[in-house]
Amino acid sequence: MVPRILHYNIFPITETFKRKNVMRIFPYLNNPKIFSIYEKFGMNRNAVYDRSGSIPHYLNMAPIHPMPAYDPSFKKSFEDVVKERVDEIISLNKKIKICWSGGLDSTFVLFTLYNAVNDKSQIEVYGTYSSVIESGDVFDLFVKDKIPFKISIFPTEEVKNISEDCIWVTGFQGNQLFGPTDNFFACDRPTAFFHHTLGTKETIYENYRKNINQELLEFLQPAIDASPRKIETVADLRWYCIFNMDWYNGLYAMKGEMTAEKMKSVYHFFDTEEFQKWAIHTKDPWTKVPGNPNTHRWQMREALTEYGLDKYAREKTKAISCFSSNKTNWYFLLENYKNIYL
Amino acid sequence: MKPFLDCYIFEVKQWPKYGPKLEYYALADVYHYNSLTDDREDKKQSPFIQIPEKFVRNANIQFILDNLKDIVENNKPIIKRINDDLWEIDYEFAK
Repeated sequence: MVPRILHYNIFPITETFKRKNVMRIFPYLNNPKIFSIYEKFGMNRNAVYDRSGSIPHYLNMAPIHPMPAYDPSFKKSFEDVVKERVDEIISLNKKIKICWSGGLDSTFVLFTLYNAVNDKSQIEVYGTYSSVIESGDVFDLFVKDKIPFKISIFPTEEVKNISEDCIWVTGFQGNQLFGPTDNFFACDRPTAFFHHTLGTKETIYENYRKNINQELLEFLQPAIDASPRKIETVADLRWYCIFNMDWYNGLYAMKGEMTAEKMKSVYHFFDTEEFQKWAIHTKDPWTKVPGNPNTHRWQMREALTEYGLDKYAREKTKAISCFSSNKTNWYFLLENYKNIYL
Repeated sequence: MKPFLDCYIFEVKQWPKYGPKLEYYALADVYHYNSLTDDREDKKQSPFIQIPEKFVRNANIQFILDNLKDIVENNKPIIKRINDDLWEIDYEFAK
């Protein structure tokens, strides 16, 4: 039996379908006719997979990361779950190399861990020149002279090649927990994902049933019905589409082309069952002040303010951070952690 | 305090790729950046790879700036990835 897929490179796969050359990926197909529906609805902007198992995929994806079910007894706050994760990571007692994109999630992870460890030399920063630029003056003021760092063009290669006994901690899955900001739409961005195509600035807090293409809704409805969190508005649906359908994309974007052993040393900070449960159950708004995208992820912003990064916490806008880059002929990461190049 | 970046930045488009010339990329922009004083929101939100000039071999900045509009708008594949830390301008594609 051919191993199933954990992650795929959407660009060459789209080309393969468009050139009617699907036989070359035949062993990895599930329902190739569905590709045209994904294409029609803009679902091929990035790798997507419905974790509820309600929507078929054209590729043979491995259903190994289901969403947690709704659990009325879950009462933890974001801070509770963060503290548990911090304790877990520190208790590994290893050098912690932070994969830092300059965005809110990884900056929050960096300074939360840095402030929590007793031995500050336990922390190192790995980033790109884009990380430095995205962070504004954070690198110059808070990293450069305080925390050991390595800034390079493609740090993913460092992660793949360093054999040191350490762990790599990223901010991945933060996007998936918190969803997109209310001002991030595909129509006015050079790079955007499927969930950014849904709704408009004007309709974001309206009923999703009246503001999404009806044909698309019909296709998505089985997954929406399977949501562990109530979906009412366009904003809810945008959150659900990234939480549900982009989970694999976040989880494996950086892990493609890595050895299985190396993968075990990579910890996506927000990739835990407890963080997912928090996202499903929380009554906190994603955006504290509706209409102000700089109050999105306000819990992280408040923590960063406490760490002294108040300007960054106040002004940081959402960007699509660039951290990993796979080879152009890389097609699949399989569930046995083998990579397929074509 | 000396800024970490005070140089020209080559902003490189990962896509589109150029068929068999897989290691050739297009430029999205070339601009000067100071990491302590510049506050350009468009650059902070850039989805492209940002590379300081010292990693770009054969970079005739003035020529590129003079022809930037044409190079960017026509997606001329003038920058080549030699390895992870070294890129090179190939002026043949700038014509």
